[in-house]
Amino acid sequence: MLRNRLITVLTFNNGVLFRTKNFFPDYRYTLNFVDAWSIDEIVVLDISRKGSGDRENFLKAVEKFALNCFVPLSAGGGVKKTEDFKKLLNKGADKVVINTEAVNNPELITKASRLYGSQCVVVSIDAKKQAKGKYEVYVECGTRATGKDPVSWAKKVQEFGAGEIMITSIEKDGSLEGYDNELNQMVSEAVNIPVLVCGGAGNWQNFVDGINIGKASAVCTTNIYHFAESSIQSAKKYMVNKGINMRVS
Amino acid sequence: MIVIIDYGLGNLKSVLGAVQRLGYEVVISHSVDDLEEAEKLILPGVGAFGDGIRNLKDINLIDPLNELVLKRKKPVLAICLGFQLLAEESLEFGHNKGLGWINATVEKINPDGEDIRIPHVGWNDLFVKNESILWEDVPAGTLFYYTHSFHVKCKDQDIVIGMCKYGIDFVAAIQQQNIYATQFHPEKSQYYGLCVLKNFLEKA
Amino acid sequence: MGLEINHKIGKEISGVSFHKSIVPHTDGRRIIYCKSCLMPNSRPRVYFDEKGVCNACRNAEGKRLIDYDQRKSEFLSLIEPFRSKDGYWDCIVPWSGGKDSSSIAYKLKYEYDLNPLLVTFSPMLPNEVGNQNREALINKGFDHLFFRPDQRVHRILAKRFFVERGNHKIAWDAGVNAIPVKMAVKLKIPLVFYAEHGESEYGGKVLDEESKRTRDFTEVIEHQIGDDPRNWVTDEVKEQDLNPYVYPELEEIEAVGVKAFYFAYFHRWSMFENYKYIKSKHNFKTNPKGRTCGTFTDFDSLDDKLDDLYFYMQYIKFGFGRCVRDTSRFILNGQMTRDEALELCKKYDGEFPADYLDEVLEYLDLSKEEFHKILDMHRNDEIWMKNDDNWTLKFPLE
Repeated sequence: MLRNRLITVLTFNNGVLFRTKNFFPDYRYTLNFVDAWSIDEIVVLDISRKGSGDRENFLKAVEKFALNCFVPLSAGGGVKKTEDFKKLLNKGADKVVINTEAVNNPELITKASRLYGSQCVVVSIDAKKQAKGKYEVYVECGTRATGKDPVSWAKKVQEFGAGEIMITSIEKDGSLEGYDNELNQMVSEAVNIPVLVCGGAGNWQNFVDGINIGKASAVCTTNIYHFAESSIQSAKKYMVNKGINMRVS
Repeated sequence: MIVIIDYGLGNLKSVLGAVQRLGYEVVISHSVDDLEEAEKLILPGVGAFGDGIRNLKDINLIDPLNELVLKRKKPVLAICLGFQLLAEESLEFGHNKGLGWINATVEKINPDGEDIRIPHVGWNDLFVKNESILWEDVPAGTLFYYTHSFHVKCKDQDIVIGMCKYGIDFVAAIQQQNIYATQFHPEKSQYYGLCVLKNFLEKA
Repeated sequence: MGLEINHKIGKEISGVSFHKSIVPHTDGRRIIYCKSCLMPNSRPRVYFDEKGVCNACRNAEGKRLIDYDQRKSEFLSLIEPFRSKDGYWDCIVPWSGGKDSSSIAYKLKYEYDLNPLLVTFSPMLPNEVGNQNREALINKGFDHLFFRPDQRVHRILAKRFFVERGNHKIAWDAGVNAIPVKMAVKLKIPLVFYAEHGESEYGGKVLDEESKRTRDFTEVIEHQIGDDPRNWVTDEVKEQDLNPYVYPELEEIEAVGVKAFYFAYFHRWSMFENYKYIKSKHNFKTNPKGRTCGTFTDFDSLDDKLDDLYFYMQYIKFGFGRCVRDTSRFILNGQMTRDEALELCKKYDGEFPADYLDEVLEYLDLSKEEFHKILDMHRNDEIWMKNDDNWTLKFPLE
């Protein structure tokens, strides 16, 4: 049967691998022994602020991952039109992640899924908790409020033709405290396409909770130390022991 | 030399990377000369059926491919959408005719139970139906990576070498003489995916 | 021609060259040095303002305005409710035997009349100087709890993180943080006194004003350790092996009412002053070699044979070594000029830790070749370039 997935999300600022906290590039991750045989998927995102991005270096990174990792690769960050999709797919990405532009121009979702297949289109939704337990969708790297509620937006996104949704809690980003599973569950149960949850992954129990409580199809981690081979194997073993169906090597 | 057929759809770079890593000389091309010179062909694909078949038509590859594959029996490995294009027709976005190399139709994965999310994305089990060179050195219980909303319904069960289950039982791989095809992405299936690819490149 | 695929080759494919080529660097990212001290902008979380001065220096400037008398009264009110009434220990000092923690211990006992329990998380490879300095302070009248973790496990983790992160002290860091607090919870001792808040003192990320005073453990996990130690379970390391490294649950800490503070928040703080202080109290031994490898000091961080390598890896990864670190601290405290510092660093910074190399290799279970290979893999391309066989800094100190 279909396994749940463990996905590494790598954020690039001006072409350099960075850790983020609450969506702000926190510090540069130093070089690391990354072994990608056990990871299920990789997502690379360009989080450079508007106008400051060094797109070329990011595209080089996408290409290097595509040529060296034999695992599904999603790429995103600043994608505005179908030409951007084509650019990333040509560099070797299998899926393209869109966020802000999906809100500004939802037709892009439909156009892209028509052109490249819905499985190619991942819509990323970032949300912040508001008063009274409600959530609001933010765009532009978590800086602009949209007034949208993530659940209804997720439903719309599915209608428009997205293949998968990635839901991220802005407060939990970089916190190592665990996911916002209330948010995760709401979004997961509202749609019939795979949902990837992100923001707050700290210990392996968080992954288990993300799937059991958050109802995720896939759990994401932005922590580079989780990308090492021994970490991924350790995480998956833990998850399997807790009854989650994972691909283990 | 291996040729990865470029018909404007799909992440050719990953397939290229995989084949290169296995040590083969490979080019991405849609020139008939290259296709003729090639020892083996790979037909990848990510996208919609209609666009796929139309693109092949537009770059005038259908006749040459029919000649090379059906007549001259050049080994070809078709992946994902590539596999679907081999069918007679597809129900994706209306009715579209495929290459017709295999006796099959492409239909939507209709989930039986609840909790089945479409597209089918992720790692899933391979059930070996028939022996094939593709499965050599691939242990039982190996998982491969899938990402699709449609599947290939084969009328001719003899060509089916592997099955998978997601709501329904669907065809994971076929082998019809020199034509090999997988619904999963070997270039994305890590270690054993590369193994399957290597088997095709070495033994087909 | 086909590549034989098996897991071993798989490792090679995904090992050296794969790793090296994957993470890009920005060509031409200039490394600049603080105009006031010598800290480079490659230091994680350091921040330079528009005048080119780093946040550690700005913090030091700000500190000159602090009314330490007022801070001292704050300290007195802080400790009063916790002062032991029955002679039981009322505070824990995470203690190495070095100048900083010893100064704290001495002041807490003999100036503030508290009853500290000194808790040591053993150095990885203890040396004589460290042992002597600890014994000397204990002779002055202190209770001491010495914890040495399972060395089979500690060595496995040291090797793992040396390879993965170029830092063999990750697990040790986790232990140094966890054990004192674990003891505070188990022994029901309400106060733990750390030394200084590294992030604000030396150029890092300051979450808020309170984090300079009260120890925020999530900060330690995020910045120093980077990952939850419970995640370190593998085939060789079981859950029960990780006791020394896992921080107690917040509920447990709150149930006992343990509070952790930075001693340096309340008192004027300088490592040189601490050294002079403790030297006046007991026969504090300095580095028997006369000068510590890679720096000009002979009195700082002396108790672990693996420390020289730790600072050398800092040099490899960030381009600044122990001398830059020590001189910058001196500059911050007005104990040295930038020019004097520059001269010392040009001489000593980045000195290779030859002294204990054999013991280091044995501890980390690496051959010399493997060691050098791993070392070079941790070189940051933004700061290192290779000329023939020599590595040089692209942006040398200035």
